[in-house]
Amino acid sequence: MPPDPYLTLTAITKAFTPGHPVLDNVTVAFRRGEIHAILGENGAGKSTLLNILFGMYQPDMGGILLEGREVIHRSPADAIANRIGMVHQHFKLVPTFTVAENLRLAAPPAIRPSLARNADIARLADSFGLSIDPKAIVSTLPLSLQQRVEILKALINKAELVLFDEPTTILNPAEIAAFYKVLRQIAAAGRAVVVVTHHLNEVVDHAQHASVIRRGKLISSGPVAGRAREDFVRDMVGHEVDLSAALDGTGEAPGAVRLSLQNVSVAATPSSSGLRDTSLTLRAGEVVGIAGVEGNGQRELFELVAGALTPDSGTVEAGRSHADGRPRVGLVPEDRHQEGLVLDLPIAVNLLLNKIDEAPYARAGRLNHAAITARAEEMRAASDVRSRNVHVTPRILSGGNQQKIVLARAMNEDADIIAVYQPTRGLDVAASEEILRRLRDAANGGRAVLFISSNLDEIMRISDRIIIFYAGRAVGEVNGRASREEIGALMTGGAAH
Amino acid sequence: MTATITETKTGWPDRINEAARKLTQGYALVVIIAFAASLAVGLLILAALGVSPWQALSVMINGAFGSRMAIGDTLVFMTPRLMTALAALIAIRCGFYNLGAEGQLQLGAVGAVLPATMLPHSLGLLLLPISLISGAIFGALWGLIPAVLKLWRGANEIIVTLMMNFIGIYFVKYLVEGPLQPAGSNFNMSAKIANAAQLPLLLPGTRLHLGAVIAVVTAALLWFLLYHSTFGIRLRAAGLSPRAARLQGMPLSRLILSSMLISGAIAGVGGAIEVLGVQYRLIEGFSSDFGFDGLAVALLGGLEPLGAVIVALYFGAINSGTIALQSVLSIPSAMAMIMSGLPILFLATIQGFRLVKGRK
Ligand SMILES: Nc1ncnc2c1ncn2[C@@H]1O[C@H](COP(=O)(O)OP(=O)(O)OP(=O)(O)O)[C@@H](O)[C@H]1O
Ligand SMILES: [Mg+2]
Repeated sequence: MPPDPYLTLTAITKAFTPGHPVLDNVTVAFRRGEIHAILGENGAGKSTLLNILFGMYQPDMGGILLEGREVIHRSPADAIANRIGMVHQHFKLVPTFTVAENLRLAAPPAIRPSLARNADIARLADSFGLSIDPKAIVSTLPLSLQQRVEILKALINKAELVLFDEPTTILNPAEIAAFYKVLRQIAAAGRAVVVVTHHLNEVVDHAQHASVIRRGKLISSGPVAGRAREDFVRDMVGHEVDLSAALDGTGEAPGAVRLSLQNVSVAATPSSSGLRDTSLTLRAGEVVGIAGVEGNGQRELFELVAGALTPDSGTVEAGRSHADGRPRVGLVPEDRHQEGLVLDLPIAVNLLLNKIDEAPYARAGRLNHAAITARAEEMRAASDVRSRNVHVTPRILSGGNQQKIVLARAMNEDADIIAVYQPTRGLDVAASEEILRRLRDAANGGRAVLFISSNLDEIMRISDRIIIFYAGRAVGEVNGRASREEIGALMTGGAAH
Repeated sequence: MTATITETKTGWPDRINEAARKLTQGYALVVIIAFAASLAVGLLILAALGVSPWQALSVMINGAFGSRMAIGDTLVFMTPRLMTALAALIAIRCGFYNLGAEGQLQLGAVGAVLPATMLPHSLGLLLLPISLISGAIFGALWGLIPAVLKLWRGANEIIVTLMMNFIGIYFVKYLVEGPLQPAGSNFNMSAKIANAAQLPLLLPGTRLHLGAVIAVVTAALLWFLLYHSTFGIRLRAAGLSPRAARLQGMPLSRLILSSMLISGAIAGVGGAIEVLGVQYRLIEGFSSDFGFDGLAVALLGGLEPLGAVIVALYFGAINSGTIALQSVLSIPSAMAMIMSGLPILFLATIQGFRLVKGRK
């Protein structure tokens, strides 16, 4: 007999536009001592559910029972007063303040005196297993440490239920392991923990309870023990998805060299090692995975290939170039919202952003809207972008649909190289599989694919060759069948010394 | 414009969509509320001064639209504000916060007065286009300076454009007190321009001149540029999301330079129009803050050319309406400033509330 729930969301219904409920009669219960995972496709309603619990939206119907007592959260302040903490996907910190200042700002007046000295804060942080330098300016911290500050904010407010919305999308594998260690500790102290995630491994490895939402309806909610990843996927998407479907190459030897970087160097920055005298070649028909801990030169590599950066020394040569000298490459950048899309221009323009000044989309400097719309509709259909039409902006689409636009544009580039950077970040399993499938097909069709990611599982599944970056250099190369241990050792510089 | 009509059928995708977005965000509604509220508050203030609001309203409407002359005045007052608004919006849409329309307008006036007073009268009708173009060039070069400083040295354009306004204003003051002041004159103004350089009047018995047409045509051209040209779509992409635009090969620096050239040229022509169509001289203080008004017009009009036309017309009407208030009911003309300042206050307040409420 499981213990009584600490908090229950009862029959929550919410519609942003009348007649189209985003949540439909959802009931879930969270227990103390448990890590409770919430799963669902992009747009299923997960964030909305947490936001309702945290007082940011009001449910149309249904309510919240806290230890059996009905409570109403009109604003986050009400939720915090009821000992609920939330760590959002986009942090709510003052970037120019120090860690200590941010924590004092968030603390209730009663607690503030006990945080007066930095040493108090350091001690408190240590006691939660969340060591951090109280004097550090938040904007200079890596995202994993900023996340710690957010968690500390919740704990200082004496949260008994802590909500996390996709906390691990910004973390690398080592940080993910450390993160769940912290969560286990928080739960072991008798608190309830809720985590929204797209990574099923995390659910199977760390959560005790999982609830699956599909298009706003609760499909299942129960203990994780005894359930496999495939079960969750079926609940999420409504049909089977083969998560280990082969993403194999054609078996033929790779073709001509499409891209070659010779001895390139780029200066280091505080957050990155830059590149140091690194060389790399990419051939037709192959997927080359770039593995490594973030900040070891991946961003510079992508920007060099994109032609957005010129190396301090060394050369970048592509088979074909644009008129302005940039290599001709189809690009899927890391930051979908800032670099991949212009969120406030229509989908049609986004799909053809790289060709908007070429015929037939433009003639003598004049846009041909008919041609743009026609081609964009074609691309939308081929890539299965789910939107009303191509005239709406991508801002209102789910992450998966946004990424389909970026990928469709990359594929539509007249290039024989495609460079992708964290292509499945924040996407649900089905959307991720689809993106991987398309990239593999592109390679099998003769293109060369550069696949930069911090998701080692994906790299291992799709790559023909894996190059490991450490401290701005390619420190090792293994073939696609190499073991995780071998790659992991190289990633931490182990085999380089 | 038949070409654009055929395109309506296939849709002006971005145009319609952006308008729809602004509507769904309630922007148009907010602006209308802001204007209605400011009119109401303005009339309340008048009531407090002991004037019947209804009488005041009818005097104002009469003064703004009641006769041919009134309409002419309203359009004359609209013109400089529309030009500076268009100048501000084309730069801001490219992500460059040009607050310097006032200075560019001043330089444009200088650029116009030089050929209009100094070139031989024998040039005849050529004097007008030469003066207008010269005004455009002066304004454009003045506008280019902050763009170059930003791209070359990273200088903050908001500060540079703002400060350059004062340089422009004092430069005009220097010119009309010195080099351009006719010998023996004590007035801070230049000599009168050649007759051939004057903008033709359009309606007999009114002050309405060709400049108003130039301003409205400029708005239409700008709309076409923004929504129907590759330059415009790149400019908007660069303004909305510079990092995405850069990765797709859009030349950000070139776009900023071109948008500032256009912006400065438009403001410059605005200044030229004041000299060639209204004052017929360069006069110290000829601009009653047209550049700053223009910024307000651009923002209130949602950074859309059509919006700018509508709001500039409102500003023009307030201007001629309050002049009527002054002459008929002896109400201080400062009322005009209050009436054109209030919508901005209301808009900022309403938007501020929406921001706080809508915060995720
Ligand atoms: N403020 C809002 N106004 C209108 N619609 C919204 C709003 N917030 C979310 N939606 C819509 O509600 C649906 C559910 O969104 P939600 O953010 O809860 O999904 P999610 O499950 O968290 O997806 P993801 O995995 O992509 O984060 C989506 O279709 C979304 O477009
Ligand atoms: Mg979400």
